[in-house]
Amino acid sequence: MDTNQPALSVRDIHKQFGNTEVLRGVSFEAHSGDVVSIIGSSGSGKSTLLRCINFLESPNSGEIVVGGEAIRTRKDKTGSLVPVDKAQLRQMRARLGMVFQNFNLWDHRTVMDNIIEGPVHILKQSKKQAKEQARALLDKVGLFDKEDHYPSQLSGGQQQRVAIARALAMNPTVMLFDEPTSALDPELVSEVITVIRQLAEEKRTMIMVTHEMALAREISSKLIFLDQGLIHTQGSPAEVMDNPDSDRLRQFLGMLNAA
Amino acid sequence: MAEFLNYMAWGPKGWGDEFFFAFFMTLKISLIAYGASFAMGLLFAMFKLSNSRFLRGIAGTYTTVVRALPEMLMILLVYFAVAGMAEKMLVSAGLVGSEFQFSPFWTAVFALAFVSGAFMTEVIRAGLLAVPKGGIEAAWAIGMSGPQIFRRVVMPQMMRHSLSGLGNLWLGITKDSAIVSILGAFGELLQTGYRAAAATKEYGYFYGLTALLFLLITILSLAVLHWMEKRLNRGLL
Amino acid sequence: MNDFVTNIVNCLPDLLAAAPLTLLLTLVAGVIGLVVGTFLALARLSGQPLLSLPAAAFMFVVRGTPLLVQLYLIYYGLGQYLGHSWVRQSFLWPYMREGLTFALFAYSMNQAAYNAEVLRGALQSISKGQIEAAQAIGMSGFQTLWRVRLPLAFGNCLPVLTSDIIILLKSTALASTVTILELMGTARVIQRQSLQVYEPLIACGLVYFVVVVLLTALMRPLENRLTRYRKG
Repeated sequence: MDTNQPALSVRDIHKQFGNTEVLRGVSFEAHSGDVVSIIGSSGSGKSTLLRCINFLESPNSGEIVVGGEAIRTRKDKTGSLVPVDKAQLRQMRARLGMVFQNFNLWDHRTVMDNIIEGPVHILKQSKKQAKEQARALLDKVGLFDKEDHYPSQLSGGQQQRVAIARALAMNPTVMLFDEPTSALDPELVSEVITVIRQLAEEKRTMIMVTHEMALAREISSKLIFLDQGLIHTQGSPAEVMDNPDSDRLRQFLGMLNAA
Repeated sequence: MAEFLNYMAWGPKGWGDEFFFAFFMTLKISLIAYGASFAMGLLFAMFKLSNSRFLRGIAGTYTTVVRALPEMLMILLVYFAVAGMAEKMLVSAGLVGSEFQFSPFWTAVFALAFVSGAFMTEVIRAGLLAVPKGGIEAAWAIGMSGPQIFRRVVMPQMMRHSLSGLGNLWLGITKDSAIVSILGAFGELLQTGYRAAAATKEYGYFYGLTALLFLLITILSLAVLHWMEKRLNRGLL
Repeated sequence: MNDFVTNIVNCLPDLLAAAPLTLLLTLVAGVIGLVVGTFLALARLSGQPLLSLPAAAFMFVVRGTPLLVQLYLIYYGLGQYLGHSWVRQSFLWPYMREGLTFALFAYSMNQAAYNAEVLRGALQSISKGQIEAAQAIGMSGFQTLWRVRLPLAFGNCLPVLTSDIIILLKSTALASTVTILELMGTARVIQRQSLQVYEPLIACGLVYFVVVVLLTALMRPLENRLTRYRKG
């Protein structure tokens, strides 16, 4: 792979729900080791954008390229892009580790089973190897003693840390975080942030939709302000946050400070 | 095909009139049994919620035993055993003559109601428990009498809470009414189907027709229940 | 009174001998009903009209008509048509002529329709997020179904499925009307032979009661084990 090749290219993504255009042509790139944070008020389309990257939502047009390989698509009758080759989409998804707002751990499986599910059944690793790796990851997120617990026995912060370990277990090219701390009680936010910060220090490539401005400022190499389905401003955190170049951005940042 | 139309002729040559009246007989049996089972359910639900250990014991035994045994067995037991014993008791008490017998029709309907009543008890009990205490206390406070409170405060709220359970029991009793056909010739749907099928040897046709008419009862019932639910949700019933 | 008790006790050996047939009907129809019911529920939710409409119609008709009518329709009706067809010549006919085959078929289809309705609700109630998590790591549709949706759905509705097994067990009594000598049928034979009205029925009730209580007690630990993930 060409080292100058972006780890992820998002090209001109459009997405419509009914008559509402949620995304109106969004493009950006993330190189290996980049942390891209996407901010914006609710309804700006930032979660939809993230979900379009791994096709949990089908964009209406545009292209997603992971590590130089584009997800091959065609238009269906409704005007959405659908994958031409489902097997290719599955391979691409396996390279995009997703962490959800609501954790979405599988309730019926233990912590260990949640983590090794992908490695064993998608990547076809041996169970033994997958478990060893899972234990290392649990250690990393500070939950070494919880492998036999069920999700319902864990706090929200612990569940989210397991969900991060589950995504990491696939050894993904890019990690996608969809508001990873916004479903958590305030006192549980920091334990998840600690893990995310650690991943940034390890130079993991990450795309993160978030409301945690302090975290975004600290770890991001690039900040994207999404407004009404378009990238309004992008740049380094300092550029975007310290010198807001428009009323909308000032308004958004002011709202966060007031909150 | 013409043959099948002939089967449905009105009068002595066809089965049209038999099935027509059987349809209403099934409805009649179901309606009466449903009313009786509602009364029993109300009674035993109040037993279950009463302070008397004896009454709670009776109601508990009734619901446990009836719900653990097959409907068919319970219906046979009530039809033969309970009715028979009651007759003997009445005769030996000298209240009736030695020739006395309950009418088979009413005994069958009672048997059906007796089984359904156990399930009804549970539905009504849950409904009564869901009535908020505050409303009852408010009714006492404005000086309503016990029966008034029951009729004007408890019943409407209980009904609202139990509607889906009550509806399911109605659908259940219309189907269970088919079991009555093994007790005797009451001219309801399944027994009529049985006679027609046996007389013509057209088993598939007549049992299919019987099933269709039962399905019609279900569809009509669902329509009525749906209508009631809508009115209830608007607070009109 | 003593006679009465003796008579009841005397019925028990024959009834206990018939109990395995009741359990066999329950077990076979329960298993087939669950498998067919799962496919029905999936067809119902498939979003393909060619699959979902027939599934919905089947479920509605079976749940909207009495089981006893279905038994007669299959036992007499199907018997009538199959008896005149090529099936009569086939090697299967001697088995099919047995009431048991027809009864098993009727009970299986009935149970399938009820199970399908329960499973449909359970499949629909699974949170979308858990399915998306499966898609996001690259699971195929089948893997998502087999490894996530079905286990979660069964876990959600297990209490209803087990109570439906008890309802099935009780409804097997109706098979006595199509010549099957399970518990109820045996009780009625004893009724006719001994000319006793009450005792065989009461003895039969005792056996059913014990079987129902035992089966419920057996299923409780199974239920707990399969849904242990829900205890916080």
